[in-house]
Amino acid sequence: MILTYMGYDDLFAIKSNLESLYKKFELPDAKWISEYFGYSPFVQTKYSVDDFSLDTSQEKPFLTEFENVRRIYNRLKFLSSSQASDERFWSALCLNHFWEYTQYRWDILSNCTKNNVEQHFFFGFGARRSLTRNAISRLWWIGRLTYDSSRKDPYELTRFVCENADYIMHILERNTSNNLTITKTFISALFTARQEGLMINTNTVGDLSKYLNLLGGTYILDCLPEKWIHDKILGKIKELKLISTKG
Amino acid sequence: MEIKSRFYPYPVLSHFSDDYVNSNFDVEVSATIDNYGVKIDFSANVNNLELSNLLSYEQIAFVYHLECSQTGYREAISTFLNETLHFVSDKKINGKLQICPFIIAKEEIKGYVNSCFNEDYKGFRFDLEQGCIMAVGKQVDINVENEINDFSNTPSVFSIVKNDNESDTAMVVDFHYKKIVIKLPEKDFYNFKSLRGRAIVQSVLNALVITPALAYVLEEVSKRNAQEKYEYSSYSWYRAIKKALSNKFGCDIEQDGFTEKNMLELSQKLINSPLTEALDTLSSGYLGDYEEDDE
Repeated sequence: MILTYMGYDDLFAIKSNLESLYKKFELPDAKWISEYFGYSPFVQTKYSVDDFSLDTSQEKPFLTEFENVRRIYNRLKFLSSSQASDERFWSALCLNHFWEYTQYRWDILSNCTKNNVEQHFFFGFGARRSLTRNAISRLWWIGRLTYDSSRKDPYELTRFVCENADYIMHILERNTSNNLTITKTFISALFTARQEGLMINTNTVGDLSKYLNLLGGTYILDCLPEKWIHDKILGKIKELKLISTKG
Repeated sequence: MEIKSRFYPYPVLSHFSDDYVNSNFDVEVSATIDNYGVKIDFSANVNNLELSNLLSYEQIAFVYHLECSQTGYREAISTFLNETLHFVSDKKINGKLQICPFIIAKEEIKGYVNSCFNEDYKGFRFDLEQGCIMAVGKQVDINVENEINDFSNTPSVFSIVKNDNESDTAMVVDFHYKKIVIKLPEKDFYNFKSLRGRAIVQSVLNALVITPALAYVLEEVSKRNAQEKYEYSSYSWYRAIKKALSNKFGCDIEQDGFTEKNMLELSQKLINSPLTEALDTLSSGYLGDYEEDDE
């Protein structure tokens, strides 16, 4: 399949008229888009990849997250960060090849609101947050921030963050997540804690993310060795568990 | 990363605190943007004896924290040299690149004391860990546009689209997107679309549609506070307008005095005052040309 993007004029024509168009996002396919413009708004890029589809087999769509991160990231790993932050590219994929997936993953058929459509077919938030909310860019960015080629299973950390949607929010939507080393070290510390028998849940991950933010206020984390960050996080997990045990 | 005024558990040399006296940490940042990315020159100046000594012993270092939140690019450059050059590929950045200068401890420093500490800290010593921030410079933002380089290329700042809401019979302008979106009623949109390819009527369209839209946007922006304007800086249109205002008229959209400006006049000047040419076009029998073109 040849990857496509949309021009800004066409993208904004839909996005700025969502108030009157959002119900069309319940339709079984995206043919209405070409009818709406009188031409296909999808422009071919120079990139083509082997045809592939996304997994829509689970009753709970989030359970497909890990598998779909792998499918998207394996094929589109070559994109630069600059290309992968372009709304025109990701929206074109949602509105074209992955129309049904986007509907499935974000429950568009039973929750077809303007906001839901805007957030998952387009970029509905600020630049950074939109990357993990648009249906397809989210899959790519989870892959980008967690894929670790130095591990036996490069998707080991990906599998961990895909256990829970809150993990993705807490770990990948913070500014520190822009540094791949910090992100991977942070997840790796959670991993170690679990291997040591400490229970990790969404509250722990939320508290630890705040703690990482706090550390970032005093130290320039980007300049510190991985081990230092790893030990700080692991120490904090143990401290939190101690408090909860005493409590 | 954004530099904000904050408190540290030990004295930090910065422009927003008086933890130190008779001391400065300034970094001059100059950027050159070419087709491949941005070349950044850093020139640091530390006016404090103890910090200068620690730098020469390589116990502390200059760190330039670079971040582009749009692309997720984040990198910290560490150096002991006052002058440094760094290159960032445009594949990694798009839009605003935030540059935050710091001095940090490269190793543990026990019993740190400085003769320029504020009176409040006299007699105190501090144990600093590796990575601790010791001085904070002023943040510099660089705009790296991969598409919109010049405001004179007006079509790249505006998107003209059809308004599907039939109850809107007038032009609607929405600037909460990467571009300024001008929504026209269906009939107006198709008329606009059929005309915009004709070079001869560009000034007429600019005078009729672009000028009032831009005046409206400038008026709205002028009402916003500093934080709201900072948030707008993630939009390409905002950065393009800011740059054009500064380059053409030495006018800073983020200064308080901007509110006093005449936005209608500014908007006309920004798009090369299209009114005269537009009226000339119309009065010199444009209609006849148009009919001939259509035959």
